[in-house]
Amino acid sequence: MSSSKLAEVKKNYGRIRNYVNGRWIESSSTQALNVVNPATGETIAQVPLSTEKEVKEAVTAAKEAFGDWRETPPLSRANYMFKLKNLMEEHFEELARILVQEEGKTIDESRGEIRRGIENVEVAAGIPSMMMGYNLENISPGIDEEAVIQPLGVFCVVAPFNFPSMVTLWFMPYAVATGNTYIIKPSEQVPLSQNKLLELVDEAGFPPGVVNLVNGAKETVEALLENPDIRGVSFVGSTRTGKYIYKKATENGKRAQCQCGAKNFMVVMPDAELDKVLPGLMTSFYGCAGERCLSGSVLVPVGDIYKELTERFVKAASKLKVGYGLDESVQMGPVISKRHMERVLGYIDKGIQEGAKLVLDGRGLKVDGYPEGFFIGPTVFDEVRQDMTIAKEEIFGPVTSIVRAKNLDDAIGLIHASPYGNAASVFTSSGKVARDFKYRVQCGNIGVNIGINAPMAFFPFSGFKESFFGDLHGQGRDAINFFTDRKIVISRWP
Amino acid sequence: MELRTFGGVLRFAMELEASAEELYKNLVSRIGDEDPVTTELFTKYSREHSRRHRLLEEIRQRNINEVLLEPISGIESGTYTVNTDASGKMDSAKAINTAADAEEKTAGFYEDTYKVGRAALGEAAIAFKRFQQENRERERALRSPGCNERST
Repeated sequence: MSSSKLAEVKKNYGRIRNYVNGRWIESSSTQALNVVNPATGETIAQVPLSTEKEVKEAVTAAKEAFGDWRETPPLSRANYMFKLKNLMEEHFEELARILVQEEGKTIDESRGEIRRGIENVEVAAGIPSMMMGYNLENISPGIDEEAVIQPLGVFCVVAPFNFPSMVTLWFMPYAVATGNTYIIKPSEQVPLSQNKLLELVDEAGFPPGVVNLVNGAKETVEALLENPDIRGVSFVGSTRTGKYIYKKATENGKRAQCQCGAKNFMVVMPDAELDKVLPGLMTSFYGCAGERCLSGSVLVPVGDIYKELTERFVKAASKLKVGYGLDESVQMGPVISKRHMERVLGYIDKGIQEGAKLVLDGRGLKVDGYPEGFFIGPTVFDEVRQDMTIAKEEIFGPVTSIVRAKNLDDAIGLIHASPYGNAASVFTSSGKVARDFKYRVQCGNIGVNIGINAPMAFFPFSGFKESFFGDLHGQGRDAINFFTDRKIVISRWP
Repeated sequence: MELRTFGGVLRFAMELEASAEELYKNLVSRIGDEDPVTTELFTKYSREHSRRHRLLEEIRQRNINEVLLEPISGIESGTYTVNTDASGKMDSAKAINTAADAEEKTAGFYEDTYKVGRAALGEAAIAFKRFQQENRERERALRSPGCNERST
């Protein structure tokens, strides 16, 4: 009993295809990249780097589909969302396991990601009520005014590696439910779960051209950004790339929403109940191997809780089981790639060089049975100063920096010194402290006694400062507003 | 093995339900035709464990989110494992005792896990509480003099 290793969906997925105009198409590109399982180091698929011509064909298909799709009543469009939701529920475990294979996260983390994705499809299924406009009679004698909400055309997403399935669903369901057509460009590192998603889109019977998928890398993104028929782009990824995409998209007259990097501070007040706080901190700092834009990165003990918190945090972190995410007893998986592993290890070296005290060393971790995996164990630096690289830059790995603060003002000062503003949390028993924190802190996603402040589908996924470029965020009403415009009609009948 | 994740706990609970289903099927085959009343009762319990297994799967699928990814500690699966061995004939009285022991053990798992992981289990905690009550009711019924007298 309790042999907890789940089976891989497939050992190898072969060369994956694009989905354009309702058909699966082999890319004509001679260039392809390997998709590597981060836990085993094995190649599990090849992803083609689609050509500019293939991007154009996808955009043309989406543009041609837009007319009829826009004419389709919102209630009918909502029904496609219900179909997609049901299919995702049916294939839930398969989707989750594919995600483990390509991304490396644990099976529970993958299930959680698929669930978050489904929730967005569910919210978008409510489009008949969410897309209603508004009106006012008699703005002048005998004259009425109304605002109607209309779709715009073709949109696209450039998806990240860390939440390949969920992030696409922060946007696509809203875009399509409001009457637009869509192109998905998955991360070339993790295209498989979105490939599966498109199989379900196909099975749900979406009309050809409404949802399309084009595999590729930088050149594919460039082709999308330069195509005049793309009305807007959604992006999630690093700040450097996000800034570039935002600039280029807006220069080309497109809407853009770019959710970017982060450096998240977890502030623990002296009155925090550590028994309750520690599990939340573990999932915050080490969940998804720290590759979440909501992950805790800097732990800020305030006042005299420092000693006990540090000791217990290190002890709890050292007990986390690291391994292949298909083993249900594993609590943290590998990082995405060898290259990324080297980058994270580089930050650990930098921390040591700059004088931080390494109190838990995750380097050189060996996981039984997976010698080629990209594993880094939970790592903790104490005595980190604000000016050190590891306290300032986004590491995107399982590395915690402990920076002490004298009081709440001091802690908030640390947060505000960061160029990022994605998330921050406070752990406290005091309502006043919690209120002060949520009122004052300039971050888009605030947690009170919560380590991962992930907004549900009916709230926007926020982000301030260098963590977000644009006006309207993903998910919920923000997404609907991003994918639509308001047309004003003023009428007088003689 | 210590169960330290939401998925691990749910998976073990499903394994317990599958074991209980199998145990009752085995006991039915071991009693043979000698005691139709007990056979009918065990068949019913087997179906109920199967239904609970499905419910747990649905709960896992519906409920998992970031909060449920927090680590859990203090639940050792080995304490609650149910033996489903099925060889040879068994009289009804012994079969009823075996079933009652299994129900007791399973109830213990749900009870302890509910205490330890209530906050981390979300909707699953409600099911665990209900399952524990059902197990206890079955255990009481199986250990009641009426049930044992009938079988002796």
